[in-house]
Amino acid sequence: MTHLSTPTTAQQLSERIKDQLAAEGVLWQPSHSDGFTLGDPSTIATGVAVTFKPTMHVLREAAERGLNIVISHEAAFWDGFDAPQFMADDPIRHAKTAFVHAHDMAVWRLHDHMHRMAPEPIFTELIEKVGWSSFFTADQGLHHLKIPELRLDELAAHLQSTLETRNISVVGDPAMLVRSVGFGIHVLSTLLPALRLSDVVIVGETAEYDAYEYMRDAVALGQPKGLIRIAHERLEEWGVARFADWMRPLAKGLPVEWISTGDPFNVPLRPQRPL
Amino acid sequence: MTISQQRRAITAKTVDLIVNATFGSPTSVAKYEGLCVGDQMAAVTGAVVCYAPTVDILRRATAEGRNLVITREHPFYLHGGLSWTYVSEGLLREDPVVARGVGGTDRDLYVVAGLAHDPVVAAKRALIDQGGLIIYRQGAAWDQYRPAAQSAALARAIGLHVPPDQESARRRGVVCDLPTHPSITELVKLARESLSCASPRIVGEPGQTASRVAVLAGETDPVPTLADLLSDTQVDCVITGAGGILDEVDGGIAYFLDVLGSGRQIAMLTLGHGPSHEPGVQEMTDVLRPALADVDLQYWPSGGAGWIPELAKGADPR
Repeated sequence: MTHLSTPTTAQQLSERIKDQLAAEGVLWQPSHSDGFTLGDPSTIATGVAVTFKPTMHVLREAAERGLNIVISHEAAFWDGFDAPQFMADDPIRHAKTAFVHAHDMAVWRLHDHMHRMAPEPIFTELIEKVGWSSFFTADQGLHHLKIPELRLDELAAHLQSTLETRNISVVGDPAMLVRSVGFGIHVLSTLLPALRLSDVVIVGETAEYDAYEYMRDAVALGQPKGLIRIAHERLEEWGVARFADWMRPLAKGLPVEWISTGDPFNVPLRPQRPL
Repeated sequence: MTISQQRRAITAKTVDLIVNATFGSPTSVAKYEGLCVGDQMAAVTGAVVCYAPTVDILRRATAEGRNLVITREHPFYLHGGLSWTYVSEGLLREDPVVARGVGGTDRDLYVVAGLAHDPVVAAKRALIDQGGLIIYRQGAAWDQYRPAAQSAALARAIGLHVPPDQESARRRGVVCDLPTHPSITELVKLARESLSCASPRIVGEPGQTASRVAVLAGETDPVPTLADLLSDTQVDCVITGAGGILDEVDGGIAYFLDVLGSGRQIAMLTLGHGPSHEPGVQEMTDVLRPALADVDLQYWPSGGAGWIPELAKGADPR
């Protein structure tokens, strides 16, 4: 099916997105993250895949669906910033690069600017996904949402169900009653503002050697607090899916589809709580 | 204390000098190592070696009259070792502040809180002060002394044979052959039985069989370390701790997903950061014991901090 009278390049698509972002108040600024990370910007678009991270699995699926322009929230490789020299001789890097070239694809990253959109799509969609949109207030922001009372283990099970993943790890007393939650962004120093206001902090990907140890000590000291860790992907990819809807009109007839990166972790057997 | 005990009593500073002579100075290798808190001139009444100086361990050490805690992780959560300075440095700040990302750009502008007046830190510090405890962090120098030690100990703890050349290699991980070819699910069972591991997770297919295993205690980063182990194309399983801040999306887990995506038949079993380090901490205790012959030295496990709830009805990601 032909959608366009004139071909659209990956570069032109990216410029349309930049223009629309600017129209909504998000001016394009220099960034260590955002921009083309793989492939040629002059690639003629056959379709757009929007995804959280352009893993090999995602790239294959995009190619199979005929979507050769990939817009990703995270980096194509494994250093956070896709520095050209990072593991330049690695065979997996070569294979990924070769796959993109062989399938006439291009990957454009949109991280910082996506987070600057209003409303910010990542947390807006996450909160909606878990059913807490009506509990969000602008004055408290993401650090404090009053929710209907439930136990910590029930809250964890609720997140397993709504976020469609088994991979929910908890620090805290399973029987603790939770009346408020807040969100942090990966590192312990960003969890503390939410922890000081709320019973439980929810975070996507955080370090066990500091955040878990801090929480373990907090609980041992008698503080009624808990921490729930979910996968980085399960925290953020719902908002990336929303972005696909936002940008679809800009593709002017080209197919735009969200491809889930999925949760990388499979939780085996019947999990056990610590004795 | 008897006269003979008094003659043998040594200070924490002496312990520091002995450990430095054995492994090298921890503070020469990394930040936030060495004597972290306590009176270094106090006589050591007994010592505990652990992965993390948890509140429970500090209480027990006080109760048992052991005033020196030798630990792999920092008492106030300053892991260090990362290039993203706000990760650790931010914790030292007064709060609230807004942290700037790499290169001083406005990437990842986060409101962060510092630990300078944190209630958990204050309560833990009081516990240390009241118990007259001394906290000595020894992780980086031990890793420098025997880079493969933590991984070799983990491999042994789950019943793998570690070849001598792997043991002595100047890299973090070890590669071990298995006489039988268990599935990853069977390795999970083995790890549960032999380690304090409440939250094992798998990347890849649980039914994947393992014949050659790369074992990497702690986080999977830096990525080149994992890539180096996987350059052995016969490796079909990785057993690691993970649980680092950069593992998942910008690190070893993301790399491993691309290894899987390239078509390689391989799977990864993650045990948790602490549980993966416990066997190595125990073996480090055994190495320290003859050097610190005048100190009553005991290894105490810290135990896992996290748990995964029973599966919610319908919660299945695949």
